[in-house]
Amino acid sequence: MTALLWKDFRLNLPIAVASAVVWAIIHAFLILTMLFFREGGDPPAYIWGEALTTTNTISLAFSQLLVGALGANAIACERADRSAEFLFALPPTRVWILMSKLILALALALGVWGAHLFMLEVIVPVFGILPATGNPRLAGFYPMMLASSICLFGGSWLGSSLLKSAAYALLIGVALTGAAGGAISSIQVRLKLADTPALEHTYQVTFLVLGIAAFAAGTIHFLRRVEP
Amino acid sequence: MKIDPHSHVPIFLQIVETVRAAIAAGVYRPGESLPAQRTLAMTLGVNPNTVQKAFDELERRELVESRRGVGMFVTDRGTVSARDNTLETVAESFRRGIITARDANFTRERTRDAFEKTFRQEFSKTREPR
Amino acid sequence: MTSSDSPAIELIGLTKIFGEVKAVDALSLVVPRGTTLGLIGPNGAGKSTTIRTLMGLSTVSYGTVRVLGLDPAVDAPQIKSRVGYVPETHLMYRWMRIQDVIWFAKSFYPTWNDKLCRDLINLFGLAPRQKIKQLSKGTLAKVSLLLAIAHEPELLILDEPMSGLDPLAREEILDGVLRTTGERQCSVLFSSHSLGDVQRMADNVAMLYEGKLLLHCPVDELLTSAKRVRAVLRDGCVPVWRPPEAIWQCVERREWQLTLHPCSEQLLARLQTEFPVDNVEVTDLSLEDLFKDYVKGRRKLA
Repeated sequence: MTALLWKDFRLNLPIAVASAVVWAIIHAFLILTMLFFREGGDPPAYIWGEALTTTNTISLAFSQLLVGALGANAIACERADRSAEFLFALPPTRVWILMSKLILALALALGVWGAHLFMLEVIVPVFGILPATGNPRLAGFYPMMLASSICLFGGSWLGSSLLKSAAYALLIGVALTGAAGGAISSIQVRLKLADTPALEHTYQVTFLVLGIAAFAAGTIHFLRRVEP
Repeated sequence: MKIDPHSHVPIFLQIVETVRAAIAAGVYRPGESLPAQRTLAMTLGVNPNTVQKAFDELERRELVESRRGVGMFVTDRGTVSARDNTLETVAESFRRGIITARDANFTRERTRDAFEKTFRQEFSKTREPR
Repeated sequence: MTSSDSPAIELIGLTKIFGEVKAVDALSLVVPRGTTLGLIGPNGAGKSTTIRTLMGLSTVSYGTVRVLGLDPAVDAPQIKSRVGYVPETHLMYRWMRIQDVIWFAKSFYPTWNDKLCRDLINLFGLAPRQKIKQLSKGTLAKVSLLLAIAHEPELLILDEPMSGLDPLAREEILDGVLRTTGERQCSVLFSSHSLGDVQRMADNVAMLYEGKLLLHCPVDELLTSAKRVRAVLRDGCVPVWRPPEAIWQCVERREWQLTLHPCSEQLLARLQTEFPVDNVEVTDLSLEDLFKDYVKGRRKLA
């Protein structure tokens, strides 16, 4: 299993490194901007807090694509260069192979979320404003992000299981999430419904269910498929 | 020792013939051992089963005998038998040549002339026979 | 029947259909333990497809496949841990180094032999720190073979192991395979276009043509019992003779050539009685000639 985990880690490393670099660049850019525009003296602490909250919430929203990419890359990357044929001729069972991919994808996804949560919950309060959980402007942010990430991951995972291209797999994840979100949104507009918590829950539950269903379908397909 | 993997002669027979010729020439003397089966297989680049088949055939022709656990050894009569075989092989080649000539409607005289011409050609360039 | 009593490979009526095409058509054969089978046939004859079903990399449309007594559709992981497989195209992770691929593969085989692995690295002259993407075809083939034999398999399956290799690399691969068969009771199935390799390595040969089994017999028996017969026909005779032993025949002017397998005295006698011929000549054939005659013969029938 160690060998499988190491292999999957190395396969996902480019995504992990790219996301870490982007995250670092965003924050570097933020810091530089804040330091650059200091004409009226040092900005008060809470401005830093605000800036960090804004940066990290937007980043977390965009990092859904990263989570999707992890799902999309999981299976398709080995089909693209046919290394799956090498792997499938070796003794490990499909279950082991899949578990290793899943563990790595989830671990990296948790890493992405962990970095953002760290900034939003631990660092931001240091600068005197509320952390995202307590912040009324960000009510429902985490659940929504989590639900849509799951939908993106599940859809991309299914795409990865069916296709040879990680890019197209990600497209499937995006399409699934976009279509679901768009459908609910259209219904909301048509029926002229207000933004209630119930509506938010509808989004979240829909994303969750779709994501898990897509993930299950992708998993079953992979386990039952004979050709690499 | 080399074998020809493209020949119409099965490899085990090629090995038998090569060993027989070696015994006839005195390369292997009575009481001496042949190379081990696996070693010979590796040297020739052939399936070990094929070498075993060759050894079995050599044993059947009483050129060698198997001493359990040790290997294949040339029998006391081995050298003599090997040479007898040589005589037979040579005679067979001549016989085939004569049949070919006869099929081409050569007369007895013409056949003999052809033989002697070839004989002279060959022995002017090679060393004396045993 | 315990696992070690069963043949290395047993196929009963194996059929694989791709859409409209029968890539493998009712193939039945047995590879007994400790023997080497050379699988020959023109391109597209179904050799690779058959090999993939043995390793559980392809499904079976009809029929039975048993490898070391096990069914690849059910026990693929067990089969894979006891079989050494060398595919035609070597598709190891290109970003790994040789030592990484070895460490990776080694972790899946309880029977991996470290000493044998080290010996093979030296024998093949491999540089462990080289990356897979940098390797030449010959070196790739050697790495692939190393992964297949370092875990001391009971059965080796090789799909065109010599294809595209220079003569020295071919010798090294041949050497590696023979070492394995020599040292243990390892069974081997390999497909090849090189009939010289088949003659050197195989105990038995099986020929596939358009998915069907044309012949399956010991190599030596094939060489000794198959004959090319040349006969001169007397005027006005156009022979039509279709005994099952006539693999291929052709008439040019008055010369009638046939390939007979198995040839026998009785068969030759029949030939001379049934047809007006003179000057019947019988010669031996090489494996390559036989292969060509079998294919030409089938093409004429089609």
